[in-house]
Amino acid sequence: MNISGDPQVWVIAIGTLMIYSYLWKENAAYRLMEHMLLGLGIAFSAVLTWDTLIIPRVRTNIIAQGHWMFVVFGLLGLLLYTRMLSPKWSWLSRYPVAVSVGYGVGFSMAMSPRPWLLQVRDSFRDLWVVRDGVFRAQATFDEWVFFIALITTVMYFFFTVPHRVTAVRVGSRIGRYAIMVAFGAAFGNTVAGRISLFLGRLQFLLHDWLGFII
Amino acid sequence: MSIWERFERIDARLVYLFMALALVLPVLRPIGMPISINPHLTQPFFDWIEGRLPPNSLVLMDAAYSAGPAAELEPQLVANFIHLMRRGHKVVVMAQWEMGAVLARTTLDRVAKEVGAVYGVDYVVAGWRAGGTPWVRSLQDDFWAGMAAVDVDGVSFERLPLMARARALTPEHFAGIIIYASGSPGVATWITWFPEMPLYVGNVAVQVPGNMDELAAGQIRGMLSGLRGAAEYELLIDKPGRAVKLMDAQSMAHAMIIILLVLGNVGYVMKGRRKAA
Repeated sequence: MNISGDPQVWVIAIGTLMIYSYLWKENAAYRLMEHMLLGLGIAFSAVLTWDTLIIPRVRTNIIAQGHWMFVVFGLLGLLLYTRMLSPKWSWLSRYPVAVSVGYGVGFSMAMSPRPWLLQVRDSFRDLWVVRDGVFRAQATFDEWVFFIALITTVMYFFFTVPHRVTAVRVGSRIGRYAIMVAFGAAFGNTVAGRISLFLGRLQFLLHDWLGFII
Repeated sequence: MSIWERFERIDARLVYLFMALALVLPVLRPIGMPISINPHLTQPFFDWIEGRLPPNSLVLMDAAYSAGPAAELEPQLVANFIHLMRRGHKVVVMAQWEMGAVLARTTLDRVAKEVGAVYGVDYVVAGWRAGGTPWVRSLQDDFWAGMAAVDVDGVSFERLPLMARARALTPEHFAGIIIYASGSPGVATWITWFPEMPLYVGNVAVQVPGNMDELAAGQIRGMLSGLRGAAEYELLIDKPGRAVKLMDAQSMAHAMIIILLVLGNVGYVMKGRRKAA
């Protein structure tokens, strides 16, 4: 065991333990660290934006290259702050919001359908798989599982025909099981992910802070 | 109350204690459990860098994560970076998450010393900029303009020789994209706006099931699944590192969760039977 003498490591370690103290119960140490993290996060974003966006844009794009439209849209963006200045001028903030919403909707609509349509196209599978002239039983089975899960899951969310009809009722019930399997896979991966996060902290505490050889 | 019923009401703090023991002991005393390579996720990722990338390719890495998911994603980033450097490729890192660029810079600077990579020549961390997806989309037209022509530390691209090759985020300049994804914005940006670019994903485990449809449809070419994916990649490049060391602990924790789930459900069933009786 070779405990670190680096003050930065100690700050991180104590911060980690203060956050994990929540596992025992809600306490002041946890709340203090939570508030500090929030403040640091906001300050970090503000400084990063100032240093790597606003300053280079002004220096390079506006002054050196003469792209004065940045100034126009910069001023438009500043109108957002009129909401905080006074109720009399707060209506001005609607203009940058309107531009943002209009741009955002158009931007999303331009390309968003394409990825989903590619996935719909991919769902048209060959249900009798023959590769290199040989029938592939495993692949055929996989495609049938996919096909049945797809159809029955869609059936589960299909409300035009009442679910009293036998075919729809049975299909939607199978679909419900397919959905449950997907939820189970997602939950299992969530657990794996959370454990990985804890392992990262554990490695820091044991190795970087306490100096255990791992 | 029988012992089985007690399992249904087990104190959460006891669960944490068992879990901590299951994690700490294998970290201190590894067991050496075998790790197999996933042929659908990890292997295509490795094969791309190992054999399909043209020599001296320029690859974009997107560090779309913050400090929390770094435990899962940084071992992936490190393994991929070592592999890319070994094969003589170049890397430009940008980030859809503001903290990702700074974390990636720190990590890559450490790894670069081990593999002999030079900042500005072999890799550059361009950084994060405000603007969300429209900003990323603008990199397609002019990478320098979108990045305001400075890296994450404010150094001009003019002083970084590698950036002369990175004029636009198009297949003419970049051979592919690797994103280390932990949420939104993330993978969707690339499959929506850059469908012509080969996309590989280093993913947090929780997102992997949600991205399987994109993998099946060919929108994602290969994927690393959390710490497990990183461990597999470390083995493939023959450089076992942090992820491999932590796999025993992960496996033990999973076994513990399965045991607790079974015990909790048995307790639930026993209670139901007693009520029925």
